[in-house]
Amino acid sequence: MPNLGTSIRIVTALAAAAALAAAGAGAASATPAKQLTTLNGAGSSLIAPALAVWGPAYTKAAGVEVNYSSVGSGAGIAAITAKTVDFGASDAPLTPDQASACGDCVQIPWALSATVPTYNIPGLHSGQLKLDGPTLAKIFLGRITNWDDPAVKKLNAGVRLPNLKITTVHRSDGSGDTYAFTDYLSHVSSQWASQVGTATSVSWPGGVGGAKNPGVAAVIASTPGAIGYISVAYVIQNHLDWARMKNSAGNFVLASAPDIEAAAQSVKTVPAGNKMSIVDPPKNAKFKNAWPLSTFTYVIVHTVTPQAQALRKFIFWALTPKAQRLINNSFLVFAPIPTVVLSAAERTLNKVHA
Amino acid sequence: MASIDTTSESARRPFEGRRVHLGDVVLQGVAGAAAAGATALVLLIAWKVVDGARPSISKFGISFVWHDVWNPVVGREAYGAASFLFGTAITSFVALLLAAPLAIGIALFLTELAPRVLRGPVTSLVETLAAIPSVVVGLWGILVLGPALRSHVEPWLHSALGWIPLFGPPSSAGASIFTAIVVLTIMILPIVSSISRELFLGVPAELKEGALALGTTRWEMVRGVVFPYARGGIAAALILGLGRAMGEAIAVTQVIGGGTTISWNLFNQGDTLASKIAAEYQGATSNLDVASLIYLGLILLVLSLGANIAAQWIVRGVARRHGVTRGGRA
Amino acid sequence: MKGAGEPSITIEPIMRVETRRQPLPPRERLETIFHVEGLDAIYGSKTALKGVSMEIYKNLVTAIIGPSGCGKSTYVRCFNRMNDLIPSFRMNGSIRYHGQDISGSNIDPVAVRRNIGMVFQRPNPFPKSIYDNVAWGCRVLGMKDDLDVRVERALTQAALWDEVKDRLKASGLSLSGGQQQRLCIARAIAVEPDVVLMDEPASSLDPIATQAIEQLMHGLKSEYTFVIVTHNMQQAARVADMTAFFSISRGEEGERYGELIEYDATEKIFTAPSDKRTEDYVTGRFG
Repeated sequence: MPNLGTSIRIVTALAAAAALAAAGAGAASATPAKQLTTLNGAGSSLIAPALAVWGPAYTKAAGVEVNYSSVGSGAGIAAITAKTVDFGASDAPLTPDQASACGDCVQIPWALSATVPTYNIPGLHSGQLKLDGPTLAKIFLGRITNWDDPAVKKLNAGVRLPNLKITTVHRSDGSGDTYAFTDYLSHVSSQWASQVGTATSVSWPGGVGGAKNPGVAAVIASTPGAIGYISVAYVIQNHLDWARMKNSAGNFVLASAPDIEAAAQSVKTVPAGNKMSIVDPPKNAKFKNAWPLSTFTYVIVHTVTPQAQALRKFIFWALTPKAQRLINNSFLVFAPIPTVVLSAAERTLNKVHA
Repeated sequence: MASIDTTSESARRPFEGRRVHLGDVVLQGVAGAAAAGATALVLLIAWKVVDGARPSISKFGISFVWHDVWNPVVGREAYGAASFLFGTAITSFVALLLAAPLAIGIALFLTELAPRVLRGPVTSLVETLAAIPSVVVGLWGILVLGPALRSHVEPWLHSALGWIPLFGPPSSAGASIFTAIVVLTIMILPIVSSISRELFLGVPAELKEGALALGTTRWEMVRGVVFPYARGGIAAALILGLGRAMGEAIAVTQVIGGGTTISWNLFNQGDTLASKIAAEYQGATSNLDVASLIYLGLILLVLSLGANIAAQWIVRGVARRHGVTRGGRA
Repeated sequence: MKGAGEPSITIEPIMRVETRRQPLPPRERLETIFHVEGLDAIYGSKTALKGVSMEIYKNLVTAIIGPSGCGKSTYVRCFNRMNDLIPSFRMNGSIRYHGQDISGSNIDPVAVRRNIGMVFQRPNPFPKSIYDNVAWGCRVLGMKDDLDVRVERALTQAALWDEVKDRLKASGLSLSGGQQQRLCIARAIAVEPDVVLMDEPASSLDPIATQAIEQLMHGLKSEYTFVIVTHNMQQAARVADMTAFFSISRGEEGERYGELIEYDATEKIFTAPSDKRTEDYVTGRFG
């Protein structure tokens, strides 16, 4: 029996460490590139469907293989910081601490997409539910708790809303979708801005967390009355129902590629760090159909990297109209990047060298 | 020192001079190195964890343990472990409470009661449960188990036992502390039951015969002889299960729903130390965020250590009480 | 190991074998407690014992002797249905206990064992205190009144009381081997059985402890019926009133099985056996 005790001591002493080790395993699994003909990346799950198309296309065009692990924006940043990959991908710009930890990293906007409010209300199909920013914020603040609330009814004249408890669903891991979503709510609700704020991971006032997009989708699918937010490409590929949002021009829009592109038109100048927010674009005739939860998504690389040549070629290629068109269709819904952002992206990319 | 000496004198006096036996030296060296390596590894991990948590320790101090906020938003950062400690405690203890009778019952069934033809297959089946990766258990938890518990078990428990604060209003989503408890129960069941099974098998047949020969029934024999004999080991097995439950991260992250509210209602969402670390470590937004997550890990490490010491203490205590260590057998 | 737990009985010369045995009363005055008829004991396809028929008498010590593998342990374990624990075991024939056949599958072995106790080859005290080793059986079987008295009486009958009365709370496992075996005897008689089966009870004990056990059997004979398996012929000669000699026989196809060769008063078995095989065995020419 003393032997049993001894083995127990060893096993459980390591158990706690295992939890930490498991957390680090995702980043460690991506191995650094050994040959010049392979590029390894990891990060955002929002961009993952785009890279699934770009990868084979670029191999065909340039003979370079592109591997990508969809581990989430936060994990992508951790991976490029640790240099276990050649590029990271994130939907949220680097925070100051992340930027300093990453050292000579630059973030380059390379695709444009959106996150969408996804719901499970029996009898209500995609696009049948209409919401606006303040209402969405009140729902996630726990101030609107039932689907037959007058505020929701007012936006949905003619739609039969059930007497059903609302369950809000969010990402439990650090996520670019969370960043875009909370950024939007902070823009449209001063209470949200002061109480919760904008980040890839926040202190939620309530609701249920799910791990990654599939986790959130699973909770929504199994919970009548649930509402959450998921990348538009994932929503389309998995036939989930999503809401029309009222933008500042007063139009209810549905996150089509032109709607997202319209939101990006609000960018006039690109700041030095390429950090851009295009949620809730102001009222403007030019982008009256703008989807208010649009987001740029970034590729993050080290300025000095042995893979500089291959990385520059690949990212330049991804920014070409041809590559952008590959991911702009009814399944993927990535809108083309506006010219002003494109030139900023290329300027940044030119800094990357071996 | 190593004298392979065959002079005539030593041949006449064959037992003199301590010889060095190569095999023993190698064994001692390898075993010693392994033991030293394991100790060094544990110390290294502990030091790394303390070092990593240092920014958070110096900012929040020990009050980190009883504050229940967790806000990683840059500019309004505030961190505390209370809600996760609570989550870890309630999930692992209730899971253990559910798993213990089940696991011991299974072990008893497999060693004493089941027809011999059933023992092999059922044993492998239960042990296969341990081989399922936790991420798969978690997936099953969120897709199948969670909704089933929410729709069927939670309302029933609430209507029958709603006066107990633990069984408050059912959750609307399948993800809850309760789902995590059931998932953890399933995960620690095979560990506890297979150790218990080994312990029961280790009860000498002559002891069982001695009890049966008095005219006791099987149940009386099990209660009077098998349980007392295996008691220390079972207590240790339960603490091993508790350690497993406290440390499980991935599956819990998938089914517990998250949140920093401390609520006695098992059907609410929550988080544990391990699940919080697993969920957010890679997405940590600031250095303080990272340090605070590691601080959670440090607390978990201390808890595990405490559980271990308790296990040792129990095993030794029981052994002493029963005189097992005195080795009285002729 | 030794020392603290060693019995404090006076050490007598070992080989001064006592034969305080009373002369046997005539057979017709003896009360039959077991009537065994045509008993076969079979493990799976292997026959361990074949065609055993004999009567065991109340308040006598009956010894079962024979070479290793003759099935004497198997035989004695038939009386309290201990062989039921072996899944492939079955028996044919009958064992009538006070007239009732206890060998059938309709008989509850638990009830049989309440009347027929057993002491095993190796001392097997429970991992409990000395007191609880004796009291546990009484408690479980519902004999809860005057437990202290019962425990003291059983320990006294087993000639252990004086040695342990000051440390009843100590673990049963802290006793020496001989004390442990006497504790097991106390445990067996505390629940007031009718018969006590002893399966080589002294085989793992030193001569002093062996003698202690033989003496207590003598003392308890008036209250209990003992059936003792032993490989030690001197022991049988010392303690038994009746002795049954079992041996290994060969069947037509060369298969080996145990068989009862001769059963008679101990005196007769050791001095004037009627079977050549018995004579060979008791004179040491075989076995």
